[in-house]
Amino acid sequence: VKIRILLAASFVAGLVLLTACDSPKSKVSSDGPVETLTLGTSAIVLSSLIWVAKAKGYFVEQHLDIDFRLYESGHLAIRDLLAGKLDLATATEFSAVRNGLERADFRIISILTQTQDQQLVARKDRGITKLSDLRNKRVGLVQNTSSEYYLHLLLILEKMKSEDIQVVDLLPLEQVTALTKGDIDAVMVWEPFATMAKQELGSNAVSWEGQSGQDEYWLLLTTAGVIEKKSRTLRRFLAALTKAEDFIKNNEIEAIGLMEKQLERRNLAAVWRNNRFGLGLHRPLILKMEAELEWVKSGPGTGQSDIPDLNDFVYSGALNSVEPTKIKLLH
Amino acid sequence: MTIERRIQITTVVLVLFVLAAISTLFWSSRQVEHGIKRVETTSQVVRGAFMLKTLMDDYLDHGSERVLRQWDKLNKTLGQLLDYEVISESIERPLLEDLKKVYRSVNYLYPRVAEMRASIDQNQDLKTKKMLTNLMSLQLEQLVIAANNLSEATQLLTLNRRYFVQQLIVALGISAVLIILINIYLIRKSVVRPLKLLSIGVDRIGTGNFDRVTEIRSDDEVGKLSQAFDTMVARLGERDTALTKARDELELRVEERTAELTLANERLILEIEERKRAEEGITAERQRLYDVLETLPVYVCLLDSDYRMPFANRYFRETFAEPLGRRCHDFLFNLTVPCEICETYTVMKTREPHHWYWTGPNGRNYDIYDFPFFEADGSMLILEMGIDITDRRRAEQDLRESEERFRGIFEQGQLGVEILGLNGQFEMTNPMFQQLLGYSQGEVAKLTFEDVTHPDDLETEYELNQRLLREEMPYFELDKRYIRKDGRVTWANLTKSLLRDQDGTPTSFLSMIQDINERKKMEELLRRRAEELARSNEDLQQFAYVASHDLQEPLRNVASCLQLLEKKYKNNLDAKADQLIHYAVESSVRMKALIQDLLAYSRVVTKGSPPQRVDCEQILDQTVKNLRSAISESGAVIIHDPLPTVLADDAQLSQVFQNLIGNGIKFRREEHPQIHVSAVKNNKEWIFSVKDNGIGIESRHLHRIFMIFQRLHKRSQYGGTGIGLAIVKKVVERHHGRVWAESQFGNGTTFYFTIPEKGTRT
Repeated sequence: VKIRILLAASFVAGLVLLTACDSPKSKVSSDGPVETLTLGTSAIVLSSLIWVAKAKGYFVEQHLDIDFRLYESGHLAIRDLLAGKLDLATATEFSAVRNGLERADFRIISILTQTQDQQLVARKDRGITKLSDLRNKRVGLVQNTSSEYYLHLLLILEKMKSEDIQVVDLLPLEQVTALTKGDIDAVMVWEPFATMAKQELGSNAVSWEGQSGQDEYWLLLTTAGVIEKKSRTLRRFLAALTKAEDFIKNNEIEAIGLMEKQLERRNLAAVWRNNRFGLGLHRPLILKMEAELEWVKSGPGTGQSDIPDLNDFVYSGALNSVEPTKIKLLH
Repeated sequence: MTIERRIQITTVVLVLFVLAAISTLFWSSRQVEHGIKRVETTSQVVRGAFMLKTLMDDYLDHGSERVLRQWDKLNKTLGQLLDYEVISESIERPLLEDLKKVYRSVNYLYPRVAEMRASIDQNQDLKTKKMLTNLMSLQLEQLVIAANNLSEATQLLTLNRRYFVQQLIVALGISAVLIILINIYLIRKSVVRPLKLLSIGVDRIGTGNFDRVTEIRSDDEVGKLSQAFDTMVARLGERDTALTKARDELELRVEERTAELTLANERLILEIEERKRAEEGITAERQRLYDVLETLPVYVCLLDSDYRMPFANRYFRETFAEPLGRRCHDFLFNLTVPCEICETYTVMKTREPHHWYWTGPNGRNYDIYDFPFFEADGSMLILEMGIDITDRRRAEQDLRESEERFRGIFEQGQLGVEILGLNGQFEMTNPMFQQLLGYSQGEVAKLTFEDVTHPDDLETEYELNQRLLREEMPYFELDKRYIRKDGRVTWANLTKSLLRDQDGTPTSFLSMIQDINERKKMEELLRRRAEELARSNEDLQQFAYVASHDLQEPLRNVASCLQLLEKKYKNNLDAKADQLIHYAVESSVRMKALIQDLLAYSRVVTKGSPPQRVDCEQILDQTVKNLRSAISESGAVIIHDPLPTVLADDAQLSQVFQNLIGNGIKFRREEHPQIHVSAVKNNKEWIFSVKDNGIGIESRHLHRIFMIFQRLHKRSQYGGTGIGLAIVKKVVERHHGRVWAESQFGNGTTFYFTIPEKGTRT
């Protein structure tokens, strides 16, 4: 009998030790009724976290019923978000700076993706082999987008002024066509149009990374009103995205396949490496938005005014309850 | 399998396990150590990135070349760290690549920013500068974040490995414990358990049981030992059977003999116990009788024919003495021969009980009973019982004497005494009572108390009788009127109480009656005189008030006329006439002052207010304010101790302080007056004192200073009419206090007055 007691005690002690060594991880409860959210986003790689979460059923697991609404551009989604037609929207930080900060109830929930996919593509046959050759050339871009900001920065770094080149306002696909035809000498454009332009030009193409080493941020946005009414739902939404992030990190090939299927496109792997998918809130985002806001406010037709504290537009509560380690705002 | 083989196998397994555990732990610790090294390196990277950012911020703010050189140096160091082999082994390669990319961006941007900063004085486009500065700050912030991400990932990896090592150590520990336990179990099964079975078998043989074998059926060393043991046990069993048979026969014989002895023994024990119980009964009975005799509150003793006392109870021994075999005349009366007359020994002659009284050597009286008492052998003794009747006789004597005394008081006392039945009928009266009412004893016996009581007093006496019966009071006194036999009314003071029987039930009233006719006459006389005195006093007060009040008007006219006369005819008449007119004016002024003072004096009684609680310190403060011109003029110093709150007429108390302090200032010496006011409590009154350092009063004048209009000095020396202290006395007496003064001529005066603590009606 003593031997049996000793064996049992050893077994229990072992279990206790193993349990003590385990570390708990905070989780968001998915119990409760199904809750709905209206999300405005784009069918692009930058929204991969959302599309993977949808494809893997992570929203359903969190008892969420998402009404997806597709937008061609982030600023259109922001417009409907501020009009109360959406609960959530996705857009670049530049779009948020340009269209969202006028409203005090505008809120940034989290970064979804960090990317460096803008490129300057030029024609060699126009004598362009280095960036300084752009002087007196015609460059196509979409005005009032980050492309304009990035091109301005490139010019500064090459000791040129805005007047040294001629900017042509064209939509991305129009830029590819105009460059191919030779109507313009270069374009500042994002993926997949940059790759398309290079493919069209073939060996005549020359390109440079367009963002001067800066990341561009694809953000999840909302309003203070939605936060007040649906804070629990937002936490569940972020919990689903966290699972999608883990999935992408551990199953990259499968994730690319899912996105190709979702976006009905091929060869996404080529542009996939330009992106880093993951939730977060950090200081560089705020710095970049401040720099962009200063640039926007110093432009022609805009009165110079004080820069607001952009931290006031950040809502970290939802992310803090799901993945607190991803918040690095106190630097 | 033999035990030796098992031990060999177990040892090999344990050695292999320990070697495996050591190898695993060594490998794991190397991994953790390597992780810690990587964590240190990545931490350096984070610090480096952060310092780069700080230096650049400093440079952009101040443009110091020294800072720029530091930045260059640190930048190179960071680049070397990023190429370091340890980092390149990190499994978080994407993060490392990300960091390197940001690092390259920073280095791409750096020369342009430095150039821009150097040209700051050349009016370069501010917007451009701002954009470059922002871009640099952003890149460096991204560098810090990227470095931090890498550091965190490396730390997490190292922590995970450490966690794995911890779990491995726990698992190895548990496995080691399990192997040891299994070994213990196997050793127990193959060695300890068979040895225990053998031990049990040996114990069983020790108790004489040779039937069972050890039941160990193993093929190892212990199994062989067990088989040999079983064979030995079987042989021992055969020999034991023969021995047992012989022993059984012997025991049968012993048992038969033992049974016989036991039966005899039991009978003997029963007989002894029966005798013992009988003896105990006799002893108890004897003790009970002895205790009765010892407890009796009379003496009991036995006397033999030789005057010796074979028994005397405790009462006898404690009252007289211990006989101790001596003769009675010896230890009682210290005689060598029997008493000349001994009534006790009459019984010896008559052989009949004898009763007589005896006064013992202790002087106490006894009622004696003697009886003939025969011993078992037929010899005769005397049983004597003596009862102490001394106290009873004394009580009887006291009662007789008391009755005699009471009868004397009753018959010859100066107080009337009556004993009244509860129905109001006189049961007994003494001659004094009969004389008071003029009835004979026989006549009174037929009357009730209602017959001789004045009708106006009957109701009161009825009610008091009832209260007496309800035990609301032990007795009552009443001044009442009796109606004598001749019809006259006579006053008497009646003191009535209840007589009760042994159970406390009231049986009759006992009344003492005192003739108070003379006292009643004196009281009436005193009442009449007091009324006359009060009326006379009131008339006097009224007279003083009216006289002083009504005299003012004509006096004012006289004074006015005299002053007019003086003004109009001065120097028109001769010098003698002028002097006479001047005297007349002065006299009229003085008379006016006298009349006003007299009026004030009379108002102490006629215009006084009812007493109320007043704070004497407040009164004194007010008084000092009233006298401030005199105090200021004379340079007087007024000090006081804490003063109480008393029940008094506040205006009059203020007047007392004002008069006494005013006197102190007025009758001062050349030096500045110093006046000290204090109060002390004495029993139920406060004694106030007002002490000055003035000219003092000769002791022969002290008795008349409180008289009205009495003055000790000429008017030319000190002004005033002499009314002040008289008013003080009047006020203090109105408050039922006393006033007096102590003084040393030429060395100050102290005035004392008292006010009752709780006040009285003024």
